[in-house]
Amino acid sequence: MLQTFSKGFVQENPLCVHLLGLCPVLAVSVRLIDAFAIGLTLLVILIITCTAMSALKPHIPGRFHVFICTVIAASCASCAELLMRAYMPGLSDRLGIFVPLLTVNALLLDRALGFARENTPGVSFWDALGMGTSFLLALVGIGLIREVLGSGTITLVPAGSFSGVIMIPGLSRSPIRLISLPAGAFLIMGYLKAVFDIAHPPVKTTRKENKP
Amino acid sequence: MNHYAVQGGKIAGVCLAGFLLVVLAHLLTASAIERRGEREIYEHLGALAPGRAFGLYTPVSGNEPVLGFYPAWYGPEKTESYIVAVQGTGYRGPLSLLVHCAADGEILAARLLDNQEIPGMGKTAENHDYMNKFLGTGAAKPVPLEPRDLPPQDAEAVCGVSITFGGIARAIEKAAAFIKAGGGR
Repeated sequence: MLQTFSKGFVQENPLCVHLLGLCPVLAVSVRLIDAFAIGLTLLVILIITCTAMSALKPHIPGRFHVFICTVIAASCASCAELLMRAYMPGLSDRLGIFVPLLTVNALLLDRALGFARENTPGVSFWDALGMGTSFLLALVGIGLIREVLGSGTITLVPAGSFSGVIMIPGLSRSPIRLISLPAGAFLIMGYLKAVFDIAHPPVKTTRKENKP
Repeated sequence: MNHYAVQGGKIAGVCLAGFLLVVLAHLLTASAIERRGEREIYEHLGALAPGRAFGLYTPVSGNEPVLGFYPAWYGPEKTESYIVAVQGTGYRGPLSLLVHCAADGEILAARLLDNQEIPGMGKTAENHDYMNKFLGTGAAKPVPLEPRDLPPQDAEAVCGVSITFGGIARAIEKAAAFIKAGGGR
């Protein structure tokens, strides 16, 4: 169980090793709080979808699994969008279309249609929790790097007299604007991928050539 | 046959469960979303016509693209003006606008609200100074409907996004014409 939960943190990290779910990374990781919100939303949707898919798989024919997975994920994403619009309007405006788009997130489809179909609901739950948490941590890390370098700020939740924004001396006056742009996200992703590959070199596989 | 009916029933059950989940979320959030919408509208009204008192929204039918209007009053002599809600058509769909008109149809302010225009292109019309090119038109001076009707620097600014500009301009012109024809009274 612990191995199922922890495998996503380093050797099978969905973001930094498998490069899954890049859409929210490029679009909404400019601010720490946005990255955290989209990562947390994906974590919840991933847990519900994977556990439900695993529980439903004996009762639904294989050819309908994609359809059922989409229905479950879309229902969860719609609920998340409605809750955000009602209670966190600013966040909802910033995340925009990327909350409904979580329905077709590559990580979600990979775990729900791959791992969850072949495992019990309990194992699928721990896998989704581990993968979702590792995705969330990686996204928060990228969001922190991008916001600090690209804007010179750290945006948290406002509370009382605290506006929610920490200005970083020096960087807030002359930030590296490129890091805020999608190209900056690719740069950060590339460096993180390199670090992960050095720490855990990928297993070399030999491809069989199709001879005529 | 029975086998297919059972499978179909299971799939329909999953769909129904998803549907009910969304309905429940909608019921829980509808009032909060509606309150937020009303608050936003009054924020827009306050920004479009600062220092004025507003009346209730009056819907208009059969006068498309005008959807309705809010009367507004200013000063001790109760000078009347109108904030007209219009829906134009942009490059990627409907454009919701609020247009503040004087009683003679002159455009005093305008603001683009909901739209699906392309960020960095048509979406630039959300910037408040975008609407400056329409101010003072609508009564004696006609509303510019084409980029060629604008001064060169403004025409250059809408170059490449002329469909969005045209959609906004036509909606503003209809709002001004509606008020000019006594639609608000």
